[in-house]
Amino acid sequence: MLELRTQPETTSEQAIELLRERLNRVLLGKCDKIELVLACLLAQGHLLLDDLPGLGKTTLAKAVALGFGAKFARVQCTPDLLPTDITGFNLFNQKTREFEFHAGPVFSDILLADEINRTTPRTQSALFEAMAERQVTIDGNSRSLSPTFFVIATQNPIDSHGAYPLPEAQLDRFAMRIEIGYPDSTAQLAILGAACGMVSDAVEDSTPLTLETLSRLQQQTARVRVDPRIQRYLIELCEATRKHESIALGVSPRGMLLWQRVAQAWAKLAGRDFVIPADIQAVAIPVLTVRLVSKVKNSGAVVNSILSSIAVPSYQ
Amino acid sequence: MHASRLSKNRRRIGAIALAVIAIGALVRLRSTCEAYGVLAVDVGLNALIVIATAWMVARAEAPRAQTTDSKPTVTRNPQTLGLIGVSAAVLFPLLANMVERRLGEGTGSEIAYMSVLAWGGLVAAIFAKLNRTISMSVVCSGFLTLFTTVTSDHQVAVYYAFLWGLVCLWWLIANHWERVESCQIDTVSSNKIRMPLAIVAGSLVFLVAAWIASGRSVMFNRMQAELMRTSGGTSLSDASARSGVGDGDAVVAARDHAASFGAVETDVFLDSPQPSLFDIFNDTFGAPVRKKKSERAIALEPRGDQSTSSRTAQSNSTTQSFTTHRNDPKRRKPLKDVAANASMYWIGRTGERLATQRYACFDGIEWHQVTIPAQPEIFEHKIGERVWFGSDANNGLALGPFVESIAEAIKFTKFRSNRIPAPAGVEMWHIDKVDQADFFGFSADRCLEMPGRDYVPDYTTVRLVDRSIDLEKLQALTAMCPGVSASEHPSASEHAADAGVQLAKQTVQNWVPNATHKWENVQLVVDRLRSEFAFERTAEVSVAETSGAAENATRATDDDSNVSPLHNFLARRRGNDVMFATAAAVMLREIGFRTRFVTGFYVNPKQHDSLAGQTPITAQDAHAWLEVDVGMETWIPLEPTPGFLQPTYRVSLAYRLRQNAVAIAGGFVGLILAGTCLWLSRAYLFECMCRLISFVLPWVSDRQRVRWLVGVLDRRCRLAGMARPRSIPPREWLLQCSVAQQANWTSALIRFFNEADRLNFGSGAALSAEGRQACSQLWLEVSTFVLRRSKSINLNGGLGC
Repeated sequence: MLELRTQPETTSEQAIELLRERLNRVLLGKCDKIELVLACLLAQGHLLLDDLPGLGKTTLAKAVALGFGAKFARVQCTPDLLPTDITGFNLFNQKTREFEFHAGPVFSDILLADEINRTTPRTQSALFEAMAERQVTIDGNSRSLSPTFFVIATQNPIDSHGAYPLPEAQLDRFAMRIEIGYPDSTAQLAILGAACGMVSDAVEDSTPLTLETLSRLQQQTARVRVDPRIQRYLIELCEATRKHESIALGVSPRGMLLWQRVAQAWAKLAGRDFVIPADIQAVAIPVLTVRLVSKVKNSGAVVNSILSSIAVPSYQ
Repeated sequence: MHASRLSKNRRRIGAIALAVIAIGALVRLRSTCEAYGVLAVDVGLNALIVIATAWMVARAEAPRAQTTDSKPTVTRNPQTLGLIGVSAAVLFPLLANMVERRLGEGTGSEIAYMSVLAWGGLVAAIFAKLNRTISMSVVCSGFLTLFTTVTSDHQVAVYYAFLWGLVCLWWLIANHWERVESCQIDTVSSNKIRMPLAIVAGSLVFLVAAWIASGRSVMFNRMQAELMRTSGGTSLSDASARSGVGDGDAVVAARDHAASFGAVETDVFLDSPQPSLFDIFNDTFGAPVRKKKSERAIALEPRGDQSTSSRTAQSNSTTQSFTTHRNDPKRRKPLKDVAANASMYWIGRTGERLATQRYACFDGIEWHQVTIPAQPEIFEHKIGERVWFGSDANNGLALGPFVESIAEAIKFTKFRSNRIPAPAGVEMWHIDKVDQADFFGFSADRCLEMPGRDYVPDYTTVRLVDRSIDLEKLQALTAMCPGVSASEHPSASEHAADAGVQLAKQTVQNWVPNATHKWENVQLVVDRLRSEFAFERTAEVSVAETSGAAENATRATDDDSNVSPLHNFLARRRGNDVMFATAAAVMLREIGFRTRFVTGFYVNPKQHDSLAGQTPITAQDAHAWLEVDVGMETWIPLEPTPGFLQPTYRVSLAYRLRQNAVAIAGGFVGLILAGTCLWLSRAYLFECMCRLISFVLPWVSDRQRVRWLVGVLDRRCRLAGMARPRSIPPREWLLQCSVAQQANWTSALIRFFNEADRLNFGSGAALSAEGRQACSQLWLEVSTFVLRRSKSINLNGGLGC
């Protein structure tokens, strides 16, 4: 019924605007972060939220899921979580004398993996296979996941006791890492107001967009034009990360592809059908901090220094 | 991409090699006429500029080492660096030439222009971004190599041309063969309209160009003349004259050339009479005014002084006196063929004065020779197989200003005198196969001659070793020696009463108030004469023209023959070289110098035949000047007549620097001031330029317009002191500035950059009308000053721009 209410001829700009508005209403005072989340979504990447507890990570993930009327699942990663708890498993049915498949949370459109660094590497890698391949193999049978499968993983930077830090190879599968951070006082006031029911939460029920719309947006994003000069600029930046003295591991070709796609999404969010150098720069920090192995603590500064060392393509 | 870069490198290296060969050819050409040291410094500095520029550009273009410093760095654009370096390299030869000429070195400006071309070719090859520029460099170097080869008569020059041709052939094959091969004609489609039209238009352009060029260019005249050549004559005056061997021309050529031995049996080519020196001088300066009989009949005292009577006798003879009181010379047409009418040929420095007669005694009207009893001795020097003769007439002095040795030669063709015209500094002379010292002697007035002969035999070549005059030594010697009082001169008693002499004395007292025995005073008198008096050969002496004291003098005597020519000259401030020399001589005597009046020939630089390396001297080159004794019998020639080159003095670089210190320092200060003014007003200049360019903006393509505007905005930011780091896109940078200023051009900025981005990185093909309007608005509104204001707002408001 909800899907019927959505206008099928909604233009992509309108769809994005609707989603943006909705997310902004859910997560107050974090327009810039929401923009990145949207970019990640359009780029078909996965998101790593690196933040303290209680900052609205789950709220955000839920809001994204609800925005599309998508199937939402949540996994609370703990040390005793098994791979099958995520992917699902075959159970022998005594009555039918057959194996029945019990789908795990990965068979959803949007999956929130909370505190992903708390679970064992074995379970982590099961999730990462699903993230990268968009399919899982259980007892020899490959099962495809949703085409809009989107993982929002969170990890708690403090209290690392008993945690299994994500290895670089697995971090590379995330498109970007975002720190939401504390909201400012105005936003906090609004949050408190909303808790008292002063702000209507009627929107929570409505589903403005369909998964088809999201899929269409993602396809459009992939078609956003990237001029060869921009691509050369991107290559120069990637090469600079590989040569930089403060970086142990530079950007891989997969990372480069993701960076381009996120920049395309950023251009799409700005209503453009082409990428400009500013798009590349705007998404550089969230895209690079997740995958660069920096020798220094402040990897954002390193990224800035790389950006400032390469000249942007000039107008011709 | 890699292959194209490789081929471009090959192309570039070839072009650089060709340019270096061209520079080598030019340096070789310059080495024939410039001091080696100066040339080496000049070329070395220029090469250093090119190398430094190449190094800096390479460094600016190379990827820089990464640092963790997150602050965006403002780096120097390699293009700007290249532009500065290339301009410096190309303009350096002009600057160097200017400085060198100021210091008495250097050559003509055409050599400097050729150097500009040569270095321009090299930097074009090194820094070219386009293949077309590299090709242009090859054209430059090719032109230069061929030009230097053609203008040079040295055999080595040909090797440069060969080498250049060889490398160029390799270069052409390596770079263009494939294209030539692929350009074979497959089909021929006839174009009935365009082709004939092109032929007609081309012919028309050619004819118009030929018509414009006809008669204006030497080359064209030569081309015309080639159609109908003449035999005989020399190419100096007649472009169509042939020269060669095997016919009559060979004889002409042999006779003409001073260095040839010229075995000519007959005088068939000598159709003009051979004038004596007397005739030459009378022709040039005019015949002496005949004296009235009453004046001639001077009653001598019965017991008169023997010397006075002999001097009077001498004065009546034509060779031993020289009157300044002369009629106008007959106007003669200038000689058409100077070489054929030459009395002699001179190999050596032009602007030289060759003395034939010297007069020491002046009586107000006439110059008389004074017999100098002690004749200098003539020595023999055997150098190799040849016997050279020399004298210590004025070169024996250790303190003397004569330095260096310069080889010169003179060849006589139609010279009716036994005097050997020689420059003042002549040290040694030699005639082939003459080994007896008694062939030579000095006349009573200390001029070199061949005694006992009517004239020096035709086609005799006399080789001379001349010496330069060192100005510093000259000044030192002059300052060291005491002056001679005016009354000590031999003719003092005779000319003291003359009105002209009196006027000359008064004049020089005004000019030189402090009459010390200094070279500066001599130069001062000469300079005043050269700058304040006009030279004319046909000075018409008439009573009407004379003024002031001269009028009184003429009225008093009422006799034209008694008018003092010197007085006339000083009053009218114009006259011939005889009067200039006389006036200078009388004036210098007044301030304590011994002087003598000299007649002879002037080696006119305008007649110099650079191909033959010699200068023909005709009767028209007869000239009068004076010599001054700066002390210890050291006679230095002086040239008071304007239009004739002054004697050249050898001056050390340090001396010139000392002399020009004020000018050089002034130049530097001026340069710094001008540079500072330009630097301070650079924003205004740039804005003016932008205003001018804004008129052509509507006619350029959209892409061009976007590129220009972004470039201009960048430059303005830089001028406003907030240069955009290259890593920040211009839109973001300017938006910060406009936001800070809350400018009304922010919307235009956004509109423009939206369109510009679409045009550049998107699929846009052209700017919209709105985008163009925004472009014009930004071009005119966002000036450097507007940005400066925004910078100050940023500073005050703490916004980072």
